Amino acid sequence: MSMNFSESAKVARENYLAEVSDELRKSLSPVEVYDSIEEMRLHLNSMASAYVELGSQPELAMESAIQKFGEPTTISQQYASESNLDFQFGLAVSQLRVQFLTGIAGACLTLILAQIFPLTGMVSSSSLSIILVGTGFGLIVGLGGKHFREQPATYVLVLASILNFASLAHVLELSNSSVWRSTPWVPINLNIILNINAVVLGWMSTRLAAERTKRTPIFSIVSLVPAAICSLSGWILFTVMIWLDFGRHVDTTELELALGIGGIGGFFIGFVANYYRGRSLTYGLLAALVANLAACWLYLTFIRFGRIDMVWQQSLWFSLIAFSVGYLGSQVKQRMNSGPNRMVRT
Amino acid sequence: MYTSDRGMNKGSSQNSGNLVGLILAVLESEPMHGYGIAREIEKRSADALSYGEGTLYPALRGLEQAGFVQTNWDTSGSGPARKVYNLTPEGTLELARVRDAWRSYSSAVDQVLGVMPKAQTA
Repeated sequence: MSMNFSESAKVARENYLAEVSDELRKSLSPVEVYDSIEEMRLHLNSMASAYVELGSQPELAMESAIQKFGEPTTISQQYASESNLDFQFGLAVSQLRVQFLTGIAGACLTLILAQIFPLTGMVSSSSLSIILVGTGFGLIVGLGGKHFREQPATYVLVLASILNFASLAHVLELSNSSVWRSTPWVPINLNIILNINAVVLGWMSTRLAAERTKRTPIFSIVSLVPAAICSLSGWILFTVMIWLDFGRHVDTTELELALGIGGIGGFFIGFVANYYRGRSLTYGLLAALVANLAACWLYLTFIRFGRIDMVWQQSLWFSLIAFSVGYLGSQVKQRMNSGPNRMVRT
Repeated sequence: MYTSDRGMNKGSSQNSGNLVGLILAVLESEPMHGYGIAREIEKRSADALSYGEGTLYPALRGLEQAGFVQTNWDTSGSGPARKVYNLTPEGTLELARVRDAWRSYSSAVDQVLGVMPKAQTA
């Protein structure tokens, strides 16, 4: 049910939606505002078309549709009210799917890496590429986010985090080589290139996603904010690494410190994801972050004791940790937001 | 705590509180987009239930955040993609709870007003 409206009807609609948009910005993120306005525009068009079919003039039809849609302030208040309400305690199970997938996939990935170690050497006591395992987590979190959110921002976050982790692994590998000591600027340049790649690839994937969901490209510009923050945090992280390890080897203590700094970066990613996408992805990222830190700690521990053959056990452990943290995070968040007056709309 | 019958006994907010229950009931039969939900409520109530249709979207967002509905983008049509809302298993359970709550509520009001079910008054 769609038709071509007159210019005056379109102007009336857009003026109204602009008012609604201004109001929604008080309680929703830019992406959510954009999504809601798109949805409302379609709704208004359908309503006006129906009035026209019943014999109304297009201008009057749009006016009637706008009138029935409601006051922008009322809609905004409703949104604000919904934002203050939290979901019912005990519903966390429905939100655990992302972190469940994360945990399972993380376990599978690590098992595969362990199995193909003789061929690739990707997971070993001497290799720092365990951080690449974090890439797998990020990927699966992103895929989960894509599945449940269908939002282009997810693609950007995933690509940015993957490339940051990958470049970190590369920098750490270089830090153990003579290349690092002779040409310290190589890793810096590499990092800059990888971060530019993150933004460019993120932008491209966002465009593809926008095309697939038939959205307008402007959405991708908004989605680039998380990517930019990811890249910036990655750059700061590597700069700190370079400062720490300039001209010498990285030992395990410094690696743990680096991972701690990486954890802060991961938290930023989670925070931004929360702002733009909602809580499920945040818990997934938090779970992945904790799991990765736990995995790295376990690896380092086993490296010291020479028990690399226990990789499969470690993978099960940090998958379990990922799941538990995600679950506890959901529960704590719900408890914090659940108050005696939360269930009553004011 | 998010409950879909919140506001049911809060005077002016009664309609918006009940709207959430109405949405769940409408989505029980099939997935729909926002406009379809509004029309179905109108149809089922024979135009008796009136509300600002813009308030449908905050309610849908609340339901989505609560895990009672999930969304997909319908790109099958020739026009722009439309967000389609589906009832989740948790939403089905919530709907059953809303129905129970409504029965209790309406029964209590009936008793106060002195309105008895027709079967009993005959």
